[in-house]
Amino acid sequence: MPQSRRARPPSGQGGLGSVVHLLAAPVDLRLDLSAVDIFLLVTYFVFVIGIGFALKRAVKSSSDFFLSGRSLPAWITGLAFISANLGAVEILGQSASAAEYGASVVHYFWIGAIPAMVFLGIVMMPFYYGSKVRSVPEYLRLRYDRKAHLINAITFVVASLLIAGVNLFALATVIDALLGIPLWWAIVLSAAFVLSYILLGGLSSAIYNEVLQFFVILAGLIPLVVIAVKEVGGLGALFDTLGAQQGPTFNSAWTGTGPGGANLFGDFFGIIVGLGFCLSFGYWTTNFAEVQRAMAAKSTNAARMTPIIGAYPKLFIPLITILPGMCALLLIPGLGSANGVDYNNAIPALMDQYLPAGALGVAVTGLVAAFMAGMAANVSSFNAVFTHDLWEEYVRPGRSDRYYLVVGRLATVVGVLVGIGTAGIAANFENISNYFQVLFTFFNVPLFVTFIVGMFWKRASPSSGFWGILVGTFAAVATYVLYKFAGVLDFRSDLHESFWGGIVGFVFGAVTIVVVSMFGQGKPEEELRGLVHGMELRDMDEGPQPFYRRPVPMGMGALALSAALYVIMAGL
Amino acid sequence: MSDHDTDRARLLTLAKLFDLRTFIGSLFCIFGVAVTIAGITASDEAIARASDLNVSLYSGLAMIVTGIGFICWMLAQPPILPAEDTTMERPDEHH
Repeated sequence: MPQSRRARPPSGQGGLGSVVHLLAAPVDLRLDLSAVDIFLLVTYFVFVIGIGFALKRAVKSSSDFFLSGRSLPAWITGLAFISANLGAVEILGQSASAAEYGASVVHYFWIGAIPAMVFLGIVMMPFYYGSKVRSVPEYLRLRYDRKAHLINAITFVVASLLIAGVNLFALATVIDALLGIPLWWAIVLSAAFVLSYILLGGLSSAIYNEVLQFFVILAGLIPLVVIAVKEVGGLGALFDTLGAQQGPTFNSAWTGTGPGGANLFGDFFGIIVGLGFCLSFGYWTTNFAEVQRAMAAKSTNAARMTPIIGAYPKLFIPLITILPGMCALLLIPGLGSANGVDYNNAIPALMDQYLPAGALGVAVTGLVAAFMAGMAANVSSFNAVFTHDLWEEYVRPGRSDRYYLVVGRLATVVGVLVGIGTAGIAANFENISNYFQVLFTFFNVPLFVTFIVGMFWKRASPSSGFWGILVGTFAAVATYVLYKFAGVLDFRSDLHESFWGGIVGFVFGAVTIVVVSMFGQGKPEEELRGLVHGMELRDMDEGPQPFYRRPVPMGMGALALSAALYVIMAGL
Repeated sequence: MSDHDTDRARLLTLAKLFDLRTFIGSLFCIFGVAVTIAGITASDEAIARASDLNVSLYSGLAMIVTGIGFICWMLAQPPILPAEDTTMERPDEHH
């Protein structure tokens, strides 16, 4: 197996599994931008800053700054929900994985995201939104205790800054490669843009830009995909050619997932339970950068609809990421080879090869916008957790709302500065930052167990949450070490290991919570109101809704579509 | 009384101007026009390179339609102003 194959699992899910393989020095990819392309890029930045200024008038309290005053309609929060996970790191990473691993990468969407998003909307959101917590860690504090709260708040804050820095560095590398702006200028310039629009408009600014970026990236990539598919002779021809060239595990998602099979994604049990349940539920339902978007919605129903509305476009994102990645394998000579174009640059290379002036500018704008949106999502969730969960809770409690608004703005500045520093570290120590990213994924699954047990089992004692997170995380880390460094456990790939590591983390976390709870006292009932199943608090004023505004039928629709897409792809 | 009404009307105009759909709609209209012009003036060689499709022309036109669609949506379902007693000038008290 080539080294690169083990070094980079597909980045289907942002934080989870998206170990960013920092872009290698590209073969010449400098894009030839014409005046109209530059005009588009500049216009977009004017809009971004304009949105910040327009929203500035609306930021009057910390709730406005951190949660958009809980006022946004579901279509906006829903699109922001997936857009926060559609940064350019994900777009480039997913197309790279598709070129390298083939069609199996769709697992990260159809089984590794949709069920978790539907579950979040239908089952978990009433607890998050109904209890009026301001962040994911805050739920842990109310349901369990300060130990569980602190471990989650600190790991989240550190992970956000690290990922923001890695995003920033990846962005600057691409700007440097494609547009020829020197790396450090690109880092400082992009950071300044993100900083200014979040300082001005807070979370609303970040969310508005995420939605805007979502449409620009569609406008930029759809024409590229149409051309690429036309060039390879249509979808049928693409799958036939790749199957003949690369073998049957490349053009089909489930081939080779039986015992002893050769699919690098591993066995079907690991894919369904490890990826589809443990890892993806861990990522999508506890990552505050995602959940924060739903918390900004204007009602319980809008909050529940947020991830479900997001699920529909998410179903089709593979068309603009995985599909061009697979096409690139046929269209870009030498893609992924030692002297050729790096897998990560599959989409930029296609843009360079096919897009004319105008369409090229839209695509470049979309990529740059996606990078900024990804970083902004990290920064806007970082400042909320830092301010409410660390500063207000442990350092300076009981101050005025205005005080915390100022702290939030300062945290934003410091967060971006630390991000720039982290980008510098990422530039110099690529391996270290890769391992750090892997490390944080170990926390997700035990965190999810802690939530789900806490939401459905009243008996779970206050201190059991902390121990569940800790033991589950250690178990997942131990599995990784036994595979990667000790060579005791054998898996087909890093991916395969990560799915089983998720299962191990889930089981150990759950068992620990149960055992610790048996020796401790549960929380008094009145402290669990709004936090535990059977005691939800819901808005009373919401009348009957048409089916397209009801989470359950719309969620089931998304699941059915997901299954249908697997069937359609198997027929290609 | 009429002062109050003009105030509300002004606030509604502002709310429409700062609605997300207005931003998306106007950005897409500007992008669409610029890209369409690039498509009309595209050289034969550029079109041949893009698999014989004048992509800039088609995507430009599609963007104009999308942009107009967003603006029509905003006009058909204008943003709802906060209730009478919470005008935007009011300092924040309830937090």
